[in-house]
Amino acid sequence: MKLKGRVTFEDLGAGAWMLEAEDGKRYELAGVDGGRFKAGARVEVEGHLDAGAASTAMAGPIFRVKRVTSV
Amino acid sequence: MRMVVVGLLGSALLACGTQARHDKRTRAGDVTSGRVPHRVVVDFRDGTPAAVLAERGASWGVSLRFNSLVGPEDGVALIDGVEDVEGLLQAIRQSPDVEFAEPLLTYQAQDWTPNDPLYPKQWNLKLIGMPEAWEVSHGKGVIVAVLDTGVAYETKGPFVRVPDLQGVRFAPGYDFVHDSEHPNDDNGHGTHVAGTIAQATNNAEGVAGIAFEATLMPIKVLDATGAGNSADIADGIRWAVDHGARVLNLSLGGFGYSRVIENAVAYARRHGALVVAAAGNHGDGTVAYPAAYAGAVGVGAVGPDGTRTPYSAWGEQLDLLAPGGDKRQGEEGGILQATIAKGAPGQSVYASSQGTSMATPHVAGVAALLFAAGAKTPEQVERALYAGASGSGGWDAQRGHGLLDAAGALRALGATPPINWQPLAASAAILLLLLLSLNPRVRPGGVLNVLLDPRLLLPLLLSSVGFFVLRVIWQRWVGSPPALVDGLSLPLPDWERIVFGRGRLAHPLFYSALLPLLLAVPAIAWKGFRPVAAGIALGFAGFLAYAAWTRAPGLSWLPFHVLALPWLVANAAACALLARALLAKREKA
Repeated sequence: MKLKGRVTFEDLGAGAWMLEAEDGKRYELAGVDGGRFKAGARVEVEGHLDAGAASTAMAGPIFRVKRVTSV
Repeated sequence: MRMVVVGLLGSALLACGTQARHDKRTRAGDVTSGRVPHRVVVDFRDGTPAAVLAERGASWGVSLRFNSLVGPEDGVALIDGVEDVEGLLQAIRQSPDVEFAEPLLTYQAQDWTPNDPLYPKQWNLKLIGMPEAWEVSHGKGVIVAVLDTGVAYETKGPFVRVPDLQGVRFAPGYDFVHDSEHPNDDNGHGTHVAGTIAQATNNAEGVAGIAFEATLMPIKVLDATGAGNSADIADGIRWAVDHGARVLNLSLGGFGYSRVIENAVAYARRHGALVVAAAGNHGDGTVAYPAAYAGAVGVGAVGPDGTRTPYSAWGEQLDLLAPGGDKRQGEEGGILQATIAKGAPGQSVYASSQGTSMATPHVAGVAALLFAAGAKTPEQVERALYAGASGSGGWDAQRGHGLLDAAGALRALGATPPINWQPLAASAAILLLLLLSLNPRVRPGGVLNVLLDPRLLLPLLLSSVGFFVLRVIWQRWVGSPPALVDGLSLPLPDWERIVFGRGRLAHPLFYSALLPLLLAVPAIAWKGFRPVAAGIALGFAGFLAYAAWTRAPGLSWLPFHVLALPWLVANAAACALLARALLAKREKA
């Protein structure tokens, strides 16, 4: 599954990188080193929705990222 | 006789009261004050009618109301929801009907105030009434499991126990992420959350926590990035319950329904544990899981102004609001606790965080206070939390049952400050010493003989332990006791609270030999009164000696070690000598 959108950082709970996706939803990007993201950057992420996961950020569904590419 | 006692006491109370009231207004150290955001108080000329208020309000574009029923006489009115306070004040001050106008200030007598240096920055603890609640419960002995990223609870390998968790009790926990018996924190979130529940408090270090005598059980179910899976979370819940946790804090959430976690929450509930979980930070009207499961208390977040933050979720399964912080105005708006630095588990820091993650441990901490204060079941705890919550008057999807109020919840449970028998024991020990020091010719008898004389025993109880029976009876037959009854139930030296309100710093004249000396005057001529005066003096001696021994509370105006401690010791000695004289004289005569 691929998602395109803009990356933001949410200072909530432990803090989390979010994707404001083109489908209008916000996803928490999990399973990838946060150092690779820059707030405001447009990216395409490949991975899958992890419906069973929980996090401290709780700001949107958790998307397990396998690959990130800048767009 | 009773009239004489009451009369003397009354005049002493009044004399000291007048003095201290004046001092309270001028001494910033005794009373904390703060601006209430968006609210303005306007003092109109005395006798300004309501019609004028409405007229002025309309011209300033605000809604004015009298503050209370005496408003029509003294002209004090309030305006709520002001965006530009300074601008409005300037406009109001032009009006000829107005004597003055200023931002609304709150004044708060300091109740049980911990000495942690960063405590003044913890607006969140004051917002939920902790100073009053701490008088009743510290959560002693209740195990609170923190299901999170771990807790910085041991110094081992790359990990440290953060200094502000030194002295806090820990029960063995478990790391379900790495399957290890060392659930240390590799993120910082769990340590922060644990701090809100039970940070070492009154330790002259850092910040305070809510239930600081509770026992923390670290359960690591989230990895270093702050995420975890349903299997670990469900296992963590069951493990914690099986190992004695009464309160489970889950500052975590997801958006997928998990039957496994729902069953674990139900398991906890069935086994007498309360699950408290975060409502979520997505800001809309659906509560995240596990907060949304039946049997979990779902907690939303408020900022320093007590209103729900934009990030906080709300909705059908929202149960309570609690301080979660709002950093839009800066770091001070967040929740401050000790934790570890991001990416450096060996480095401890104080961090300001925000989120429903931060709100949840406030409720978990208060739940621990309630269990420690006598609640037997999670149902009782939940009822007290909801009945005590402020500003709701029922449930709604926006605020749940309202804003968490620790003091209100303890009141709703019917919990009262524990009766402290130690001063009575100190009095009995002093009595033994006095009797041994007396010449057998003038010794009034053995300890038990003297102690069990009701003329001595009742005044002794009154001054060392208090007429707690009054409060117990009131609670049983009448209902929640009013402040006066509460005050009268306290030991005599603490009756200052009837005059000054609860204060951690006691008035030195109440904590002195003054009252026993005054009561000894009638005893010179009236021999029958001597055992009463002796009982009072003995009770004071025990009470003051105990205060000196435990070094609490501090005294107003007197630095503790330089002046207050010698003051307590000298006055305890004076009371003991007075009691000795009164006891001996009785036999001589």
